[in-house]
Amino acid sequence: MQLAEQVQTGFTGLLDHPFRTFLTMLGIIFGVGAVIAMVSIGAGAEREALEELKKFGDSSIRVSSVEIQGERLAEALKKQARGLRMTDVACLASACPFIDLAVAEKIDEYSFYSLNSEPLAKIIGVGPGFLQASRFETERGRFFSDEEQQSAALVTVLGAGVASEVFGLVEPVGQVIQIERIRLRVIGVMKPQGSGSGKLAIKRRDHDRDVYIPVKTSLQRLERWPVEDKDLYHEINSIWIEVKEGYDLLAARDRVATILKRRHSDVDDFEIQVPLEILQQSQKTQNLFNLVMALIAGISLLVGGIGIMNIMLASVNERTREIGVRRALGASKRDIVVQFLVEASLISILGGLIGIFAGIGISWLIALYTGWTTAIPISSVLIAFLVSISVGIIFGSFPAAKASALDPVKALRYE
Amino acid sequence: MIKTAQLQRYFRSGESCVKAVDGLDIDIAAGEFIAVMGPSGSGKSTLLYVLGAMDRPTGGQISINGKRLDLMDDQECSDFRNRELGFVFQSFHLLPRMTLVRNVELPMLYAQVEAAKRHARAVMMLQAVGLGDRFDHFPAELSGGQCQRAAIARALVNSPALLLADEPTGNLDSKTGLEIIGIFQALNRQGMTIVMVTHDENMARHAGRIIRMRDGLIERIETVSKPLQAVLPAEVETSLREVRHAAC
Repeated sequence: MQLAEQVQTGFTGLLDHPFRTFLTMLGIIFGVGAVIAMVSIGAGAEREALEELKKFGDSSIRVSSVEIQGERLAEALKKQARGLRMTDVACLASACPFIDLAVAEKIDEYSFYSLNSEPLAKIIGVGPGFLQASRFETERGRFFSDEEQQSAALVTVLGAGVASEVFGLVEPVGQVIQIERIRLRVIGVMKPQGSGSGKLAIKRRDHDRDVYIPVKTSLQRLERWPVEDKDLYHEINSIWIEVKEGYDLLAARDRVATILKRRHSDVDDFEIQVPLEILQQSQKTQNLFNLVMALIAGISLLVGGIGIMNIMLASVNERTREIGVRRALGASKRDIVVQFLVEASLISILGGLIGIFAGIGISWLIALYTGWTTAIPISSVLIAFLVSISVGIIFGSFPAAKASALDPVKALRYE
Repeated sequence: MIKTAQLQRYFRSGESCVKAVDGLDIDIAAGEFIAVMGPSGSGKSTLLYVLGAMDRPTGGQISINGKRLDLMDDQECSDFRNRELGFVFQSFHLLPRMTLVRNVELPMLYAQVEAAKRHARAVMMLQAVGLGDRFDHFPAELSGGQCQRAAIARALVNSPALLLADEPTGNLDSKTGLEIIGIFQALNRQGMTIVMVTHDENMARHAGRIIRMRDGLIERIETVSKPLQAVLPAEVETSLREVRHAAC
């Protein structure tokens, strides 16, 4: 008997009990749906984390200042510690041969004046090499020259968001903005960056709202009114470090930490983050999550498979006489095995297909209502589908073998 | 056509052994119409199923059309049943969730006949047994006589040389039973060998020979000198002949 005929016969058999067939399918539907939905969350998170890493670079280290106050601050000051400073940047660059770039970053929040508006933005003082370390690009105009960096020139490069907010359709390059009492000439506008999702657990602000100025301009020309000692403790907020190719990133991190710790008299006033390491850690967590999900999905599919076996055994029992009749009319044992295997496989294939669509739907709903990024890898769909077919074949085998082993005469006389 | 030598079919159950068929020597020529009679438990149905390659003998030899059934494996037995035998049962054994035409198509399905040809032949066969207008009905929608005629159509679709019938009139009233016997006689006149198990003496008298069994043994074999003739409409006989010729 040809397979097409077997499939048709199988469908007929299943349609005899549509509700029972549907209930049997549910186990597979839930199993496959859960796999697709959970994998989509994991894959979405991984994709986002990788995109984040791309922005940070896989050879970068971030040193950030940690605010200290009260007794700890007093103790630090007693130890002559002075927080994160420009001298740290210079020292790291000269002491560490593996450092390609070390860029200082000073962040201040100011209201600044343009010709016609007064938005609040972050004024970011950045050292030479910032563009390379950050992998940012200018959209219009240019970034600071070395000469402008050295001379603390009164120039600025605007984040894309600030530029459009302040100047609208007017070309910002060449315009002047005012921060407190200093006036800065706009020499460039950055490409839109978008805000980070935080999937890498690294603080990323909305860079489109940055107003960049040379770090020396920030330190020497911007007026500040420190209220407490802590406001004066750190000179800069962070150091962007790019490690040369071929160097071990974690060893580099340890070396940077040792140097800074010594320079800061063992005061814990900074933290070091390695985006690649964080990604690897998040991937480990993700793998664990995937393993747990696979286990849950596996149990669900196992339960679904047992459901199929149960129903198929009932079906064999119910159709014993039919098996006898088919054998009398010339069906071989193989024909009977194939007939029941096809039925079991149809249940699992249909369940798998519905499960795939259900999983895609759930994934879409999760993305819609939680804002999480979800992604459905084609491999997960294929694997889920193949597993569901296998479940049908594996759990249908025993009932099929039982059906084919029936004595034709006894089967015919079965009441 | 059918030859058995010391044919045995014993059933073992623990210590006891039931000798359902106990060393039968039978010789049936091609084109004979044989009735097998005997009380319940005499082994007549067991003999029929052994002849039909549904049950395996535990001893002796059996050959049909020169083929040794006792030496065949399961696959060969299935092929043999499919191509060389037609079965008719007391309770028809039509599959209830299939239309008549799909029921009649079943043996051809296992013979790998292509779908269009299969359907056409099933319809033709149903027309031949007078069910041309019922081919898309389900068995539950038909009378017992109609069901048995459909079962005969199913038994004939692969043009077997031998028809085995197990109490084919047992579930029918005598008038309808005679109609079925009429079809058997018509088929027998066209050269088909028929072995029919029956309890009904009157039905058995339509056969050419009667094998009487008791306790697994042949009690006696009678030749019916003047078999009774069941009336069958001439057009049914004609269409049966036509459809069987078309198949050949």
